[in-house]
Amino acid sequence: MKSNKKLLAAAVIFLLLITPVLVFAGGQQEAEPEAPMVEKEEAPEKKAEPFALAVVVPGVTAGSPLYEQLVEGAQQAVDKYPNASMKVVELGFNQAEWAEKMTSIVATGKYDVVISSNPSMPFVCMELAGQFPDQKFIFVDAFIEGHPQMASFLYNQVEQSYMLGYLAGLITTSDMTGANADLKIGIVVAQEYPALNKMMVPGFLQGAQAVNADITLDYRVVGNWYDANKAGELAKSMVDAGVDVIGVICGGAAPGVFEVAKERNKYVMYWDDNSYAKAPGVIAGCGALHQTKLVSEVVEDAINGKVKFGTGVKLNSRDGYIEFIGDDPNYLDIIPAAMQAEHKKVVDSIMSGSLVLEVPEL
Amino acid sequence: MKVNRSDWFVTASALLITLGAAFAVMLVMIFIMSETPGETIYYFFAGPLTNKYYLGNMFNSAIPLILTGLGIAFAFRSSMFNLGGEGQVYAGGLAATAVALPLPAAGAFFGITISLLAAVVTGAVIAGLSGFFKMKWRTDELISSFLISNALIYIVDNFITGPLDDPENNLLVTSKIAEQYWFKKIFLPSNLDISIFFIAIIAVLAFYYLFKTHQGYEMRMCGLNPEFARYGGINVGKYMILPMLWSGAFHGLAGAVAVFGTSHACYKGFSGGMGWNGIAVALIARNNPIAVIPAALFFAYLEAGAKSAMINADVTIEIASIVQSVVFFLITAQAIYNFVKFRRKAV
Repeated sequence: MKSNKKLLAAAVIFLLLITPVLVFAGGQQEAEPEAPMVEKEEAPEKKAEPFALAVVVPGVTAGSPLYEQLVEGAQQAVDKYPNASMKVVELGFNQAEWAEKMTSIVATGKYDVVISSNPSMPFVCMELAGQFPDQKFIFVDAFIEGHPQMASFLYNQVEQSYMLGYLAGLITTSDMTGANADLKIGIVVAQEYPALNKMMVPGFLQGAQAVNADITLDYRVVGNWYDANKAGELAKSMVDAGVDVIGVICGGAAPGVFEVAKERNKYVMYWDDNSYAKAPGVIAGCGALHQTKLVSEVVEDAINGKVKFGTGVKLNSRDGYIEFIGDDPNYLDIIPAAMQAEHKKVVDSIMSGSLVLEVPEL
Repeated sequence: MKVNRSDWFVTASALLITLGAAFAVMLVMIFIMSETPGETIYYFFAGPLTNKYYLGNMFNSAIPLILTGLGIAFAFRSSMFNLGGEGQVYAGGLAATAVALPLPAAGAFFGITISLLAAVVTGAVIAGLSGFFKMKWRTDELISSFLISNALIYIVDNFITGPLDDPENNLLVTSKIAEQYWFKKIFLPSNLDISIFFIAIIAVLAFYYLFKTHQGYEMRMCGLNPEFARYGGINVGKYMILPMLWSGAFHGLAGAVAVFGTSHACYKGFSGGMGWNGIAVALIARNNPIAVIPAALFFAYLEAGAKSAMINADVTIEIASIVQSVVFFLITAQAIYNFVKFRRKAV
């Protein structure tokens, strides 16, 4: 009994000891002025009104090229304005919590604009936008039109996918090592969503079939953005079925496909980022979105009050936000010169606008 | 239920030390991870209480934890270990959604009742299987419940991303259930819904069942000493299945309540942590159904504090997971200690 009392007393003393730390911490918070969130550089333009930006990453920043570009672009713009500050908030991988966390961010009332990047975000924010009618949202890599609190910027993924599909078509009809006569290309995706179903997959197949109309597409879904083992199993099964070029839109699961492609002398097409270095000799084609540039421009516009809310802008390669990476040494090593030249013609025709690939209704 | 004073002291002091150690670890983590520790600590502790939205959401996230805590408490009281809570919650949520989706025009009472029933039955059957295996073949329910749950998670994932997937949505989620099934919000703008009252009543009824009914007595006797219970004429085999059925039913209901109250659709991985945290909640509550309520609120407070710190300061949400892990670890260690003490006494 005595020892029990001692134990209880020790526990109470311990809690009492940490209490001043907590109280002090709280008091310190009240006393301290809010620290600047970013370092400032020379400003080209001065604005008196403070501008606070929340950069919301639906997932985690590290390891996702588009999210890294989102943060980088916002930072670039904010650094130019002394009155601007930003905070990056990561929503994590549990999609069920995104709406609640987003609401928590908006409920602070601290931010003039919330910017995010993901096709799902306009829909995640739809309900909460009604609850907070003064909050403005900017979405990149997403599309919504006509909502007075939202502005969106959608990349024409048909163009990027067509460029990659055309190269896949050239490879599968070639006599390159690993290419076979089956006229089958494949794509491994993390999950189905409208932009994928209506732009990326059709664009990829359309590009390949522009080379040979008999080319068919083997389409597989991983079911998440991280399971490299499952993606690898799917890739194995596709290769066994005669696929020699595999497109990957599956985030962290893609390395599973790289491994199988390397073992079996097959090729991979990669979207949204120059990732040749991730699997040299395996990734034969990379598209890229210039999200850093877009976000930097858009955030600058937001700071200067120039963003037109209620609009949805569709961006294509002629605007300078989409390209095929055709000058990387890894690409130049893998793809024969004649094939590069043939592919370049198609890329140039898209970039110049002579080949028009429209964004469908999402 | 008489409580020995000595037991009370042991319980209270162990709990205080555990919680104190968990908070100490959290403070250390904050000082390491945060550039503005004062601000972070302030938002961690005070954040959940600063406005209606945070406060309501904190209570809301305690709702499924109360149910999973009750589920674990029922199993532990009978010396049965249900480590399959995660899968049971997930499958329960899916079952309720799968029943509600084809009934977009049914009445709210009918639709909600059969959907919740589907969730309860699904959870009960899944957990009950482990009890049945134990009764029939002496299969360790700790292993079987865990393995069945893990396998189920993949099956549920497959349904959400496959047949029930909403192709018009960019998220990994089923279509939304009809609006008449959504639980009524009672503390706007937060997600707190009316189910909290029903869940509190369920906790009281669970207490009554365990401690005031003949069946509850037999269940607890089987947990305290199965050989003694058998000698006393209790059908011990029955109490290998029954507590697991109850446990699974609570877990299944937790999944359904999370869907019908908060998300209104079954998201991939929505149950993340509910099952495991239910174990910690039950252990903090010493398997007392009434004490499960404050224990669940404590866990919800930790999570709400971490969210508040993440949004307002410079730490990531993982800090909540670390603190919860420490609580879980220390509480589990205490439980093992008690279990060993109990076994030694029994021998």
